[in-house]
Amino acid sequence: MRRTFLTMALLTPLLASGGEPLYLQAASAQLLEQPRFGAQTVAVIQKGESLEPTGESGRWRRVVHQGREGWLPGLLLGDRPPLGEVSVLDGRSVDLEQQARRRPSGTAGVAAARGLRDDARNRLSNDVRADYGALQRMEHIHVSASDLRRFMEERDQ
Amino acid sequence: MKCTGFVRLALLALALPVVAQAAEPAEDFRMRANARALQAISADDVRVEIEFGRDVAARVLARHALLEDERLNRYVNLVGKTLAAHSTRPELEYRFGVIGGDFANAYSAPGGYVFVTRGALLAMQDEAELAAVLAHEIAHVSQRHIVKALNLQAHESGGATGMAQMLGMKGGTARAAFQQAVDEAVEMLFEQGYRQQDELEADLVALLNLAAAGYDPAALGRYLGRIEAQEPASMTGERSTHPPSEERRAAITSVSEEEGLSALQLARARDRFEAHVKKD
Repeated sequence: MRRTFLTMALLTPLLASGGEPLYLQAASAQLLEQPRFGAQTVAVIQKGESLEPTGESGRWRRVVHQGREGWLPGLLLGDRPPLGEVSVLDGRSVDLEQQARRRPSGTAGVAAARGLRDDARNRLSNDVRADYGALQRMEHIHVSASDLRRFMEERDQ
Repeated sequence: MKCTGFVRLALLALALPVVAQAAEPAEDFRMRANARALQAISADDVRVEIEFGRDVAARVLARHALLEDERLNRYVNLVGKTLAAHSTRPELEYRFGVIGGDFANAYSAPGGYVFVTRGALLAMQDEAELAAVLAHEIAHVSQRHIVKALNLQAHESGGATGMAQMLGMKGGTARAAFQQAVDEAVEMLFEQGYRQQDELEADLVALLNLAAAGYDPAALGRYLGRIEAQEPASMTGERSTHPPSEERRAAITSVSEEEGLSALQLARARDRFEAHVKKD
């Protein structure tokens, strides 16, 4: 019952119907001839392209793109154009060292103020460390678009 | 029971087709307008979500060290970014890291931070299984499970998020409220785990993400089955925040059959996985 509920909730389109355009939210997707993975590809749609909804079947939406009709997973569609990439790393104003220093007292104070359970408070007071150095190393792992494209192509060869 | 954002969204989704046929037009309009308000996420909302996620991610890394293995971390990032390109949050740059821990688990923080333990890598047999685990975590981010569970999502009025409001506050009160939310997110990751309905949704989204990205969707069920066989069902705490349950695997089987996913012959990339993940 819960599974059915979840499936319907996730994939029953909250999205526009009756002529309002839909927009692809993923980087790209294959417009398929039938509402199932593995069907013939009609066209490749790029992120943000506008699509006219014409029907639905289960988790799939039938859409028209530049005069060609096909199917896309409803999950990949939204009724608004996707946002561009958002970052906080360029010119961010947050002082990481200051952020790390303030954490212990701040966390303990909040725990006390909120009346957390003793076990939760103890756990939080022992778990106030944060490793921003490791976080920055993780954020500096760079993958270019061409590296990613080559990686995908190598897999499928 | 607290009515979370996801539940409201789900109820709305269920109600819409019926409303469209039977209810008054004004009621139909109101419900659709509410649904769209929930979907509306501004760039500022996303910035705050990333700032929040960075704090949570730094806590994860203090608890489990990032493996200093550049080649392995880069490989995991390539697999993860392949999936992210076929997911639904193009505004986020997903980042992936391998962390210490001989147990099999994975974590994600809002804003796109995803972690997989060394123990999980050792339990995998091919790249598709790695993709399956990462896709599940990406789904927690894309569906904003933590943000919704902590009631930090966009308000139905379309105003600023709870997090944005916290940052807009002055002085210690704002910092305390923000850190309180970070504390709750960390506790959710390491102690409580996600709600079962969120786990099921993450599995479902992951299956579709895997298929769209060209990875064998059956990898998710294979991996969960192996983990379940390896770990005692009575295990509690941090090691079992993704309990492989009968219900989860049944849901995976059901969706795979409905969508014909099990018949797909998609990539498993075992050789490439073995070339990057040394098990000795």
